[in-house]
Amino acid sequence: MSKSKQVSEKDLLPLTPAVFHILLALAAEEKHGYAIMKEVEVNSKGQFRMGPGTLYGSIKRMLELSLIEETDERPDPEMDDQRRRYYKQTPFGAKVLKAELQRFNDLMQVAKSKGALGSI
Amino acid sequence: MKLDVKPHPSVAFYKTLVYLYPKAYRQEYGSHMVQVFADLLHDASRNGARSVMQVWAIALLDLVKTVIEEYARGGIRMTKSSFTLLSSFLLMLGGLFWLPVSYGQFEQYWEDPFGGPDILFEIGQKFMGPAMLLVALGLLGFVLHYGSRLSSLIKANLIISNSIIGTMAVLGIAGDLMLLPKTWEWAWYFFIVGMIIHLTGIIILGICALRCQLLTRFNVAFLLIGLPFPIYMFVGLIVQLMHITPSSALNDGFSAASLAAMGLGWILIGYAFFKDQIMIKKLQPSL
Repeated sequence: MSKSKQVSEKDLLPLTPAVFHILLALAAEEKHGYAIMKEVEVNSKGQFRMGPGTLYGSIKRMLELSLIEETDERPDPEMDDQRRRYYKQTPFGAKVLKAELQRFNDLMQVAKSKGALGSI
Repeated sequence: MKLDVKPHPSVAFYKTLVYLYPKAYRQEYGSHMVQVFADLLHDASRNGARSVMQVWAIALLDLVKTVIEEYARGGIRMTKSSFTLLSSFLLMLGGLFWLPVSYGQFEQYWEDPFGGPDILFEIGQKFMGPAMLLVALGLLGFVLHYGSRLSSLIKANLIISNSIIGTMAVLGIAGDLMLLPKTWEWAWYFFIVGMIIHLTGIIILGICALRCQLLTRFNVAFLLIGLPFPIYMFVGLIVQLMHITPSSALNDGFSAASLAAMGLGWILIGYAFFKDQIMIKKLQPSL
């Protein structure tokens, strides 16, 4: 039985920055490790950088939690190294990401009501 | 990165460091981590040596953190031989950590890419505590492995030397984590005295290693570690007593060279220690 059936998305919140960024990087399409890293760097405007250990340590735990899965699909097999592993978000992973974004949004609403956002 | 692109030469060293991870994790993800690191270096090398060093700095800190995490998650089951094998990597890693400390000494002469007044120096200093801790842990395994070939006096000398650097490492890391008062005036004097005692121990070990050929190679590296820093301090003291003010470039250059020699020396010792253990394993395949 997969862990996604035992654990609800709320149980996993708040996500660690690495898990959040990896889920976000895989929101649109499947990617291999280095492409995930580059996407995370772009999405965070260079403010969040992972080393290979954090990347694959997070991937390992995300696979165990069924947040992501390996995929055999290749965007363009001729352009890529066949030994690379590609990962994609699972439906459970998408739900967890959505729940985390909802949590951020709720916090933004609280901050807005307190005037903490200033001129943002 | 495509497969036909030649990897950066330092990727091989990272590949060796990946052996620090638990075996199951390494077998599952090790090659992919090396591939990602090679890709990172490939991109960084287009932007020059500084970008390459930045990638290495991030990867090293990441490696130490995640190795501990993976062992903590899997539960640590360690035999004497796996601990001594790990120790050889810790010495190499400790040596590698001394290199940014050395690099930081040149801060004031180079343009600062991060914008702070002495940020490279500050970053370099952050590596010092972990470098000393890694060396102290690595030396524990070293004593365990070679202890039977060392006299009680040399062993005692090494244990004192190791206790000193271990204490300095813990205090250094505590200082970096702001666990100690910031204006700790005598910390610098404690560091100098501690280093002199520690390195004296390493010099004594080096003489013994050269005489009895303790390691199968690089025995002279102990002197490479032990001698330059005390010489630097001694020359500095003489210069001060003679009321001569050396140029900052000369002073910092000497300081950087002594720290780089220390780093290089530990890398060589760690490598020789590793090779000795591999050789023994090959000679005793049934063990």
